[in-house]
Amino acid sequence: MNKESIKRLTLAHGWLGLVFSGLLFIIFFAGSIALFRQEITLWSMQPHFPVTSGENIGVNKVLKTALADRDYDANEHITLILPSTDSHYYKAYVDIKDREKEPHYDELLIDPVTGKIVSEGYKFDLADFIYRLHYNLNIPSGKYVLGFVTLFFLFALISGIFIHARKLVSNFFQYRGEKHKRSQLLDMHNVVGVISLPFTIMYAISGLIFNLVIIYQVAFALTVYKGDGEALLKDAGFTVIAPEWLDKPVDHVDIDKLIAKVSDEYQVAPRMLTIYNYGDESAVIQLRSQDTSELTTTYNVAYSLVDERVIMKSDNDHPNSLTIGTGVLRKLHYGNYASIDLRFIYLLLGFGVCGLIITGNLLWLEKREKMRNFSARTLSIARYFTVLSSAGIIVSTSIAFLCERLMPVTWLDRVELLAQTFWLSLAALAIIYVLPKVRANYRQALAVSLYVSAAMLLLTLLVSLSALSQPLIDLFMVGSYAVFAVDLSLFISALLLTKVGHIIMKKSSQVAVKAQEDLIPTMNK
Amino acid sequence: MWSKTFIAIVGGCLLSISLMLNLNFMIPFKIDTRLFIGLLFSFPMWVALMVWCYASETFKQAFKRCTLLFIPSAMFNALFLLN
Repeated sequence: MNKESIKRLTLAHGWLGLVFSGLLFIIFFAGSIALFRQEITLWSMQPHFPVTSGENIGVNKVLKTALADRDYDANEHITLILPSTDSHYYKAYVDIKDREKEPHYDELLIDPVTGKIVSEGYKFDLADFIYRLHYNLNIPSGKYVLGFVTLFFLFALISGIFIHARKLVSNFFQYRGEKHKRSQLLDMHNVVGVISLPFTIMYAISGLIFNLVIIYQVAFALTVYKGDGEALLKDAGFTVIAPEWLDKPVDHVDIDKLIAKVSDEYQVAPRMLTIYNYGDESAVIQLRSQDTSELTTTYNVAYSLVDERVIMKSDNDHPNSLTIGTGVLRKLHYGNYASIDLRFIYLLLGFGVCGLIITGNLLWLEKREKMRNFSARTLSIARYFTVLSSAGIIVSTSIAFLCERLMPVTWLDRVELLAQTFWLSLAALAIIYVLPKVRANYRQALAVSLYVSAAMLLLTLLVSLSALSQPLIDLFMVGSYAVFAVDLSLFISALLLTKVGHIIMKKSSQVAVKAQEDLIPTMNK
Repeated sequence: MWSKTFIAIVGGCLLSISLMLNLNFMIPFKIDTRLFIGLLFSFPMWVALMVWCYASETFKQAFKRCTLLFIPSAMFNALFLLN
């Protein structure tokens, strides 16, 4: 590519990077935390409920408990998520007949030993809120907005390769720490960009497939399939299970026996069960595994509940390339195909990309600050959004953690309150960052924001240890360490945030002193 | 630069769909494999076209480049679909 083309690509790389940096930071920051959403959900939930040990009562009894005294809609489906290392309890989702308000189903947590319902309703949303922030910003159509942001992220990656291509190998280990600030930022941006390239390309492509696949789906359905969307879905391996209601009641079906049979066949127990038309002769059960030890999905099968006839089978013996392929992409994206170490590597790379985004913005600002004719207003807006989308999100997230720990478990609207706290914190910060005193020194604002985040996390830890000390001891005694791991992560994060905040504050003071020194000779003249 | 964004998004999308349709008709694999290959290559193709558009000197040049590639690709699409 010639020099002029590279110049034009550099301009597009810089501007588009700046415009989409805020949302990209949210995607990577929230996504990195969401890698541990099972552990965070356990941290939120587990200390509030007793941990029992003993023999598992089985699905038949759990189902009976879930449906007892509940006006469930048998024409709809019942979903059960079986206990695992991610969750000690059975999770049941039961559709309720003619319920007007959302959600149209009851969500239950059922103890696998006592068979008692320990919690009703969706109460612990922190991890899922952060996860949704990662893929749809918790707003309608946010999925498509973030899809297009990801498209520009992939463009930034590819254009970055073209821009940096000639120095890709020679400057791979270059970091000019002692020299000019711009060189430092540029080296940091390039080194993190090059090292994380395979990871970021995988993330960008898989993210695009998850969020914007609809574009190609519609195009293929209209052209190749002549408008027959169902035929496309069938070829793609998506089977819609919708058995016709026969109105022939069936008394009792042994689901545990079927689970044992399937577990024996595949050597992996199912993780999720969906039962359609329960209680009728037409009832169908769908069983899905979630094996975290390998990349490929093991099975997704459906049987008639009455005679165990196979309705649908997708496994390694009956593969569909698209189903398996997208399953592999999903596991690659979530990093849940190996042990927890892999997710730590993903976490580091994810935060590395957050750094890549911020250094990109700082580079853009540095360059434009030196241009005499460049609009001061544009620079001010760019600085404002850089601080809000990075520090603002970090502070709001730490406040959300504190909020999750402080809210009593009996509050029915704690899910809504958590979301409101997050958005209100962000709105408050948006106002604070616009104040003239804060705008005068954004570095200081950034440092103070990091200190505030650290304080919130330490406060969260303090609340955990003081209000939930006995449940935490009980959890430790039964060998459930996920809650402690999250608490420890919060503590380490608080230390790191304080350290980074301290470095930024020190630099901010140095810059302020230098500016004052520069100003004195000018005033003397 | 901003005018090139329009052609990069819309032109890139249409052209990548058209090229992917041709690829889907040409590669000798089972339909599920063809769909997956199409899915995997469509977005990088779109982004490659975006890079091509942004590297163009003007909007007009980007438009011309996309159109010149789209016409033969669309003709092949028509040929495959009619057959």
